[in-house]
Amino acid sequence: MLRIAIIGAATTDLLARAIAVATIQEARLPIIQQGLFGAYVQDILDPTSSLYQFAPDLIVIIPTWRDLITPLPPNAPAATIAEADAATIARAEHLWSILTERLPNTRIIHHLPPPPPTRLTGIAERTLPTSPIAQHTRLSQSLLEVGAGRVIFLDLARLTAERGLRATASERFWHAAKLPFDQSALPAYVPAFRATLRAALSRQKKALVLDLDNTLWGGVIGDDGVNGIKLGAGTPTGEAFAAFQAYAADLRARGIILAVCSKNDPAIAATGFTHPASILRRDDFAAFECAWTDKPQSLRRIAESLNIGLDAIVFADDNHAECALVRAELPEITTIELGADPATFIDRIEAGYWFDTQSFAAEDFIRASAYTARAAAASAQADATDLDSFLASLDMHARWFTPTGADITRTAQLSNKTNQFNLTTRRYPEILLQTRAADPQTLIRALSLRDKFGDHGLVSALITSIQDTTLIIDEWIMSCRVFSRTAEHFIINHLINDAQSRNLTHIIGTFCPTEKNQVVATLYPSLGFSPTGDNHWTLTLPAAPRPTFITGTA
Amino acid sequence: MTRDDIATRVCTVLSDTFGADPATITDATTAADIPGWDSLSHLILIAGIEHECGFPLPLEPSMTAPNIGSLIDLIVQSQPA
Repeated sequence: MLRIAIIGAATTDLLARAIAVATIQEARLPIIQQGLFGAYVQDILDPTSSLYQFAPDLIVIIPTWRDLITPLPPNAPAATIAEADAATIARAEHLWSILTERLPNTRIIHHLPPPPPTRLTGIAERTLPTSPIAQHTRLSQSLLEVGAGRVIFLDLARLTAERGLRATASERFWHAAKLPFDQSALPAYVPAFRATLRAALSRQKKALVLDLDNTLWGGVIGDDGVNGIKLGAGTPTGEAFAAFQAYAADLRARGIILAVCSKNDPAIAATGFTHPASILRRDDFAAFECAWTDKPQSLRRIAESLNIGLDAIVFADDNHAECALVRAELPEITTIELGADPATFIDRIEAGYWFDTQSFAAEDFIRASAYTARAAAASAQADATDLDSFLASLDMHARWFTPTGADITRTAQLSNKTNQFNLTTRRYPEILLQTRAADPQTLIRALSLRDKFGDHGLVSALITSIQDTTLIIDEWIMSCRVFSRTAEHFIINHLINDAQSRNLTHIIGTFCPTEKNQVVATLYPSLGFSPTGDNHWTLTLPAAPRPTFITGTA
Repeated sequence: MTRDDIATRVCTVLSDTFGADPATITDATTAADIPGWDSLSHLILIAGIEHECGFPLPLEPSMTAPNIGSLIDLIVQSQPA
């Protein structure tokens, strides 16, 4: 069940229907309340409004370009323009702040409206700061900047640009019924809304799993050989496959994990990536499942080896039968049938907005190589004769610190993406973390880890509060990349030090079970905590340090 | 398109939009006879007819048409030459 409030300075009835469809497609049952027509500012400001009585999990704000643009004479002075810009941004920020204050657990989805459809004098409008199009461009950018981490944006401007502005945000329906959006555009809106819903529910896709033959190159590597496959300049087909490879490489550089799932001989399959026009390399894939077994089995092995859920995987294959089998066997996986024309592959992947994300953290840019390193570590583990010597051989160093700035952004991202090592699954949006960080009764601590294979960045965080002589762990999250490495021991040792330096006598942890966090069901007892009822666990200080293979650094 | 062609298409869209039984729709049918036909769903209906017929309709006259027969007449007149 998901309670969704839809508010905006427009008739939202049709969008509400599309939102209901999108929510059901994301396997949640929507309960929708629409605000009074055009009264969204009042709805937000009035603490007794139906909006607050409804207590939504999600608020969708649907402004139009009219809310973004101030009517100004074309030659208005710079100071007037700056004042108008600042007022528009301050208005949006004020409304977000009130909503966050009154509904701290509610996520906000804010539409970036399409630009006004009129062209007026065309190119001259672009460089005229008072023009509707210049205001729209400038203020959309400012909203994105001030709203980062506070709200989730849905880019209607981009959607209408792809469909055609006049066909999508037609003025005649605005005049007739204040409809911001042509109903023929609703099917295109559904996948865009689903992406923001996944962002709000922390269910983003993490990996793109690709077939090889006729997916990453034209032809069959086992039959045609590396010199026979179609890839690279010279033919439209070869160009299109190279462009698709470049697209996958660009996704990888942004933190999407790549993997291969192909019916092939692994040694022969890998030769495809030695083709002179191949943009992708064998090492770019964090998992490489080439086997003659069925693909659902291979995909299960990929999920296991990457330590991610099946629902975090997008699988793309040109073959209809393979796609049908995966859809039937593993409906949790998003399956994209690429078809026969490589020139349309990128469009088919992008149609679902699967990899849309709201912002980057530094860790995103090193994730792909971290996962490759993780795969190397896993094979090293298979080689090592015993666990202790393996862990010692990893040469792990960690930093224990209080996150600020970009590390708060990363902590929020970790909180929102982590489902397995997540003790309470309370999601902390960035704005809430900043509020908590400023509270003297709150202690937020984080761990960054590097080993001989690479730097993993910030991989674990604890949000704790101090009550009398007790440290309460409100939330503890850790990236699945660093499971089973005694990091939890390193962390609890440092947390004990933190607590004792503040003269605290107890640490209390809570485990709230979900479908996905069984991996930490016995974490607290394994760290020496005693059960104190109702999923609470207590550690009495002082407590003996736990053994760890991680060395602390400043 | 002949008036009959257009009438058939209008019936299809009415039935898709409101679940109305095409057999019960005549020129004399009005919005009040069809449950769910309000001012907003009228626009959904018109957008559906535009899509079905392939040309735009003037919105305001369509909103003031007293019954299906006059709506069909309006569509006939709106056909591009």
